[in-house]
Amino acid sequence: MNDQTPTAAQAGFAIAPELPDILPPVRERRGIRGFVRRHPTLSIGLFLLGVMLFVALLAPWLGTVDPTALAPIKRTREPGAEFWFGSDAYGRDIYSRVLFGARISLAIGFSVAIIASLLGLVIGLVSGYVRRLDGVVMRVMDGVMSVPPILLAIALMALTRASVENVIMAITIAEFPRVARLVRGVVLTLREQPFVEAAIAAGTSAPRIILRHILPNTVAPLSVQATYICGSAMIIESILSFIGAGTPPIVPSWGNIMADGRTLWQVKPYIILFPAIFLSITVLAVNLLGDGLRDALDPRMAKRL
Amino acid sequence: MDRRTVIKGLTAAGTLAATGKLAAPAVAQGAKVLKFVPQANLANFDPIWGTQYVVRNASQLVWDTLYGLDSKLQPKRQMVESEEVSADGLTWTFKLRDGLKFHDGEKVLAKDAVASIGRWTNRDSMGLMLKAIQKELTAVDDRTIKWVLSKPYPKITYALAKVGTPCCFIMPERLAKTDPFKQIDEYIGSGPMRFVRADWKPGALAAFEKFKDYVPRNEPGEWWSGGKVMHVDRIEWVIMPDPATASAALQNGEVDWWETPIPDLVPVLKRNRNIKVDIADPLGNIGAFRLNHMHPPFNNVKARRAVQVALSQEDYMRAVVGSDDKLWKPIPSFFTPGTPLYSEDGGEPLKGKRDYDLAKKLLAEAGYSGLAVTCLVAQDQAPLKAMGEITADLLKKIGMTVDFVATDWGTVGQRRASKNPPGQGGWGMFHTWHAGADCVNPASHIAVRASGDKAWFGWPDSPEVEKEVAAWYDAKSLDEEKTTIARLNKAAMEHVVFIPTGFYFGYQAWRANVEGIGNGPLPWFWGVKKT
Amino acid sequence: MLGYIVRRVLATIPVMAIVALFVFSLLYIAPGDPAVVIAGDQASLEDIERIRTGLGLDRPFVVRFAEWSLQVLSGDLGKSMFTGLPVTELIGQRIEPTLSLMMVTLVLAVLVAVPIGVLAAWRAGGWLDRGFMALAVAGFSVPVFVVGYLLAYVFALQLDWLPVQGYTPLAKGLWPWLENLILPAIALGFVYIALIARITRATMLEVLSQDYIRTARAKGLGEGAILFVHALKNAAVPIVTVIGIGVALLIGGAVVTESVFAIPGLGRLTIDAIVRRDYPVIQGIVLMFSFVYVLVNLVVDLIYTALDPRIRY
Repeated sequence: MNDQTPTAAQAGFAIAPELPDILPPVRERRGIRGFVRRHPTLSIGLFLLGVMLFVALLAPWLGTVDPTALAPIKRTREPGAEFWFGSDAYGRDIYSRVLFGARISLAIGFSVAIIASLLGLVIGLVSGYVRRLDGVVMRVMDGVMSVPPILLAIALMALTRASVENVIMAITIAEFPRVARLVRGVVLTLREQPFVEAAIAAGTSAPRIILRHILPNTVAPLSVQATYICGSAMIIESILSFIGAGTPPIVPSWGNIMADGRTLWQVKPYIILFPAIFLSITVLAVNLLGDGLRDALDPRMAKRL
Repeated sequence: MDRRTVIKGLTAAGTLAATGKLAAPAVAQGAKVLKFVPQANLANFDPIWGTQYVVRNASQLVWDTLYGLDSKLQPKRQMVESEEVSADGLTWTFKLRDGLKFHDGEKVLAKDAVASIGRWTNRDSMGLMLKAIQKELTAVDDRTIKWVLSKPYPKITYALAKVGTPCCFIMPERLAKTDPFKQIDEYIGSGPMRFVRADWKPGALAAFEKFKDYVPRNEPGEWWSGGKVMHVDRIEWVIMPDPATASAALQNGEVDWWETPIPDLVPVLKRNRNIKVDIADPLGNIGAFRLNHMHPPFNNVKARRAVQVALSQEDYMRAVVGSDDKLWKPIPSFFTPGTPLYSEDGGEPLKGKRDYDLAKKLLAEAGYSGLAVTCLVAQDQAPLKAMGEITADLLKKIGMTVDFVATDWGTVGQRRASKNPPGQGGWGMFHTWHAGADCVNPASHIAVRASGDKAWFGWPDSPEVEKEVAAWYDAKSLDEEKTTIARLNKAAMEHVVFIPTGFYFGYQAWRANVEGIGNGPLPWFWGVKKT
Repeated sequence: MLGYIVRRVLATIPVMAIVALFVFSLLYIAPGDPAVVIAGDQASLEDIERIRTGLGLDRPFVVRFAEWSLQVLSGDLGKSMFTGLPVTELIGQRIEPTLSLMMVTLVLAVLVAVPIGVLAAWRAGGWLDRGFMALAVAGFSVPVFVVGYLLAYVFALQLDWLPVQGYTPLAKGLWPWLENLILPAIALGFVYIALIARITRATMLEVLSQDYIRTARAKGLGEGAILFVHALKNAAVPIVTVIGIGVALLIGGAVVTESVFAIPGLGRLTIDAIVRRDYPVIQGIVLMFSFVYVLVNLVVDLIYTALDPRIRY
């Protein structure tokens, strides 16, 4: 400022007083703290899921006993010193069953998510890229999707013996058409993009185009969808086991533990309560993870999903 | 007809306009309806074809019997007015009461009884014995039946009166002509209640209405003897596979009588001032591990003994009745404790410390090679579900592979009839229980018979056991009977006809405003009032 | 417009054909021989063979499928292997409770979820929004039957406000009918409400950021009118889509809810059928539900065109 020009104050404008230096300068935080700040949902989801995975993997060393060991003389004990989560109608330790059950439920959730995603990816890619097959394939997908997922899973389980593998297969079949639809949608949009048209014009082979241009763009929506499928699969498994069409009764999946506790929920609610809490936390974690991924990867996707 | 029901249902749901009470309800105002929760679903309704207790309990409402047992297990006349036996004991003449009618209005004639007895003798163990010595079974006139035998059979009225299944229910001739190995499809009888076929929802509801033309006997009703006087107009069997729901419904007054409350829920019911709980049957029940003697692995007696020496009745009973020690007893016997013929002879394998090493050794000697044992476990019957879990654990402990088939009691009833090998729809073992009343002597104890092909499911084959059964029938005094039963028990234990898993009592529970509920091997509906 | 409707309806036919093919294949590849069941337990092998031929069970797949399809089209869904009753009769007996439950749940869910979603979008970022959305995610995560048992325990057993189980037909009065359906509808609707609330909020957010909303505000229109008349109408399409898709959730969830609350509907029938491997019944139910679902989606698509004339395929 030189003496010639009037100051703002002299010009008659109101000026805000100078702010004291008490406010810290705004800094974009790096590292974990910054990550958590920027992606709260994702972080919570990851954290909870991590806890569950930890519990599942380290189950044998977390103070558990054999989850299938019967001790009818110690049946239906309340949670206490000997049985941290209480014992069920056959004297089995619910704490151990819930922790080992985490393995089964998580295994089912992850397996279904991965297999359904891969299957849906392949079918969606083929259907989206090869025009001739698109009509037929999508009709079949529509047909399969017309059967409500749980009914479909029930019907498939009716055909086979109860086993963890068959449950995974049944739920996968119920879930993959949605993935196929999603991938196909992405492929169709991408096909019209200039860079893909350029690649085709340049004579690039179809597999190369798919691998280099299309596939990378499907990863983001696919991952988000996969997390939702994981949560859905765990809930469907618990419902199937609950009605007796899921994992064999001998297997301590969360659904089975809850099914066992059905008859006693009025007097011994903890048998259903503990697996229910664990299941809900896990599914919540996975759902939050999905939401967080969706927000982080591409905010525009938030509307499409 | 089918489409009409669908449209009817849709229309009913479609009329959602809030018009309050619509068409008149099916039951007249003020009618007394008794809502009963039975032990299992009434999947089929042929008491000769299906020997399950639940079928018999429903059948007793719809069909009547020539004779009926009283609370002392003595046969008393029911449909029969009088009987005569010739001096040589070979010719029995029964005269039917007057005024007996079927639900379709037709009179009950002797030829209906003859046809019904004929159908029954093809399936029942005592009936089969009678059929073997039968020379003539005819209707002399409309009210007289003549049965000529080649040998005397003094227990003939007991056979016609017993509550052990299958019971000799009297059906119209045209129904009784159905092949005894196929189910009937009409449910017409002459009992005190009519089956309301139109309201039958298998798996949800079965309904019975008072039969106006039923003429009860003059004596007071007691078990299956005496007058069957109905004080309610309609009985609804509300099927509730989930005990927790049934318990809650009973507490809320939504149902009146629960046949089999599970022991864990009984304390809650006992605390409720509007509910009464009591032991259902002072004669108790014997749990059973029923093996298939026809196919491997249990066609070898050593394999059967292996299970016998490892089986812990305490484990089974705790799983079934819970922590109350007053509700169960170990029984190294096939017969009902506390009855005159009870014997523990030969029951050593079931007593004392369990020997898993011996079991494994016996299995090896039997040549067990890892073949899976197909276990049929009914999930909708709490005692059977509980026993199934213990069995899966037991068989694994002694080194057997388990093929655990979790299904419902109706399916178990169907599958256990299959004589196929386990891989082709057959079975290795299933659980059931026998009412104490049926296990007092070999006459009604179908499970202890070992007549091979003609025996009960599992088809045990032991000439020794059958010899003692015949000896019991011929016994002339109580002491003689006791000796034969002791030998029978020993032979049956050695052969491992089946393995008793324990003796236990069951409860029944009802609302305080229901009167006349009695004890016994099955729920009696006559004399029951709702205030 | 009419052309569109016709084309849309015709498009459902191949879909239903595929569903029918799948459902028929269920029985075809199912283990267990219906001839054995019908023959009875003392039948000889020749008897069983005779019955198989009599039932036409030994003919090729295509022939049997064609025959079955014609049968289904004429309204005959076969007979239950277990009770011998026609499947249509079994379904007809049980359809009222299930339909009632689903409709009450649908109405309840829409009435609760849409306002929640609108409110959350209106006060986006505030505590109301975060709270509702947290509840919504939680709603997805708890299995239906757990919610059902909790509700039954608190409201039926402890507080005794509502019955614990059972179903009262509409013919016996509106309130008794509703009384039995309130708790099951809430349990079943939990997930549905979460789903609809989320989509409503997301779509409303997008719509509320549009220029024409700012114009409406500048014009001086009240918030209520803006939210519910202008914004919602434009947000309707995705919301209606989700409601349609969510019917699948309702159907699946009804199976469990009926079990928890002892409602004698199609869900219970399904469970009994699967435990018994009663394939004709399972077939019939899957076919029927799929048909209903396809119909619902058809109706949803047709509602689109009414709501948004821009949508024309």
